[in-house]
Amino acid sequence: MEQTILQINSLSKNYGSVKALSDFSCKIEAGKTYGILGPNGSGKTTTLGIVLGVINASEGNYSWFGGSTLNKNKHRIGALLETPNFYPYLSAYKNLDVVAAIKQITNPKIDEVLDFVGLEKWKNAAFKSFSLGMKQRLAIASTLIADPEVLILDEPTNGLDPEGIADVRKLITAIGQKGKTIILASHLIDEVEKVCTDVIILKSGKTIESGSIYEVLKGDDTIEIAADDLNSLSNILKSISIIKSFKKVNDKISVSLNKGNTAAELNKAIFEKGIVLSHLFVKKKKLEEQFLELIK
Amino acid sequence: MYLLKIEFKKLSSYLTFWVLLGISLLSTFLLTYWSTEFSFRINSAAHLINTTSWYQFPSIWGNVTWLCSYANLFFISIIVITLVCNEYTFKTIRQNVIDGLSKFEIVLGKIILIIGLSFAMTLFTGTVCLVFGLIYSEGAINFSGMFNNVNYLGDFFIQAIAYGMVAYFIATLFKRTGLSIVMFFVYKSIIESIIDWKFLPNNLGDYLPMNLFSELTPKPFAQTAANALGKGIFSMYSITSPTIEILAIVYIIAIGAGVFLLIKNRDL
Ligand SMILES: Nc1ncnc2c1ncn2[C@@H]1O[C@H](COP(=O)(O)OP(=O)(O)O)[C@@H](O)[C@H]1O
Ligand SMILES: [Mg+2]
Repeated sequence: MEQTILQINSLSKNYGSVKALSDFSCKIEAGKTYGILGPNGSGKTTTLGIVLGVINASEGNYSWFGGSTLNKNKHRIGALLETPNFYPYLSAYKNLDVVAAIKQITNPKIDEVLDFVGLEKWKNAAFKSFSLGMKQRLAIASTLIADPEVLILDEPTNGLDPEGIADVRKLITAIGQKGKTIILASHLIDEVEKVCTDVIILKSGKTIESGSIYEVLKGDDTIEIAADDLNSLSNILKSISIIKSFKKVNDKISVSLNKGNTAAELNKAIFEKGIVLSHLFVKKKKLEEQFLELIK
Repeated sequence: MYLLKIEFKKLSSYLTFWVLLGISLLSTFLLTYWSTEFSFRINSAAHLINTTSWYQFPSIWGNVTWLCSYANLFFISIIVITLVCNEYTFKTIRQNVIDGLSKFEIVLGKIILIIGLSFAMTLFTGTVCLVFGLIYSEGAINFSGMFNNVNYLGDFFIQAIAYGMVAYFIATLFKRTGLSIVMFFVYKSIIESIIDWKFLPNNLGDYLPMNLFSELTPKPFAQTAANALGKGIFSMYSITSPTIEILAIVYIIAIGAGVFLLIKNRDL
């Protein structure tokens, strides 16, 4: 059964003349892992801040769990926004105890979540004595404390060492497999690629692409082709409708197709025009290249 | 009340808070202890005061609450400003909202804390009054009249809340501890006086909030001096009880609403 967790309608946010977010809409469905991907300053934190109630939207609205923006919904959400924010003079344990009190959890599993992120040895150490990586882990622990249905993670691997990054990604995947809904904001393509099922790509506050990782990828590979008579080949390419664009590169032609079309279809279309290709090679792009292309 | 519980958890191992609270209670005690010496120096009318009567029931209630209102002003404002600005510095106000408090609950929690602190200060000051009163009455206690002026303690309580709320408003406005503390005292001792002298005719300055709050614990000499000189009622202040209490409570509510509006319309 598909269920809408979060519906966002035409959100905009202006900081003076800066349009941090414009006309952002999306629908988050239960059980999927979403990636909000975009370079720094593209509006990821702004978007998440608005739906978490800490940033006032300039326009638009959102609703959680098919209902309202009511605060009691937040107890079903675990969220980490931008930086780990804790009381520096309190211990890890006491900081989580404050979070548990806010979420009104009767028997918080503080030790359990500290154990989960590997901080059990430091549970009585003050937050201010922590390294950035430890702070980040504590923040992740605090998002898990109410065993929430939805997890919002804004750049969760920021400041972690490679081992920590791998740990956190494993953790997110594991949580996603438990059927939880995850919204992950990141500027790192491979992070989103490794962890998410769906992706929304943001650039300067505007949505550029969205859909399943598979959809966003499909049809965007480039195909290298060549024929004995390169000139007549490039002439007939202009009349083939499935081609988005092409350009001559040395003695070959590099073609990109419209979404959903395949190299086989291209080959067939060219053959029907009476030209036999001497070379056809599909260059699978990595998501990274795709991403850089999309945000150009 | 779970909001108070949350606030208490935040403070449980915050040394600065407990030290400040300790100093404020200690200074209440010391001010009372040394008050007979002070009274000679503070005011020219003080020489009319018989120091042995300073600690006598029921006038001790008015004397000590007036004196300790300065400790109140100083410490409750510093404590409240520190705690409120911390939430901005540590961005924990943002995290509290993310974790599930509404902005209304955020404000309500701090107001409850201010009321709690004020209550603690009032209780302590009341105890100090009682102890000094009993010690200095030298067995000659008039039990029937003993608590005649105990209503000063109620005014003291309202005043502590009021100072705390002004501090809360200023801290919310400026977000930074040092700046807020400076602005609090600049407002109290400079800005209101300027508004009073320059812009307000007659007794209208009495209605300015800090003026009004400080008159909740009126200077005891004025009346004593007037009595001694046989001049009858001697009051420089135009607002009397219960108008002053009602106005103070109206101000407190208005300031609370102001804080809420500031936070509601702000990105955290
Ligand atoms: N408080 C603020 N005041 C002014 N501009 C801001 C503020 N917060 C964010 N911005 C701007 O809004 C844009 C989006 O920021 P943000 O949502 O933090 O991006 P991201 O999280 O994707 O890196 C940026 O151009 C940033 O400079
Ligand atoms: Mg960000």
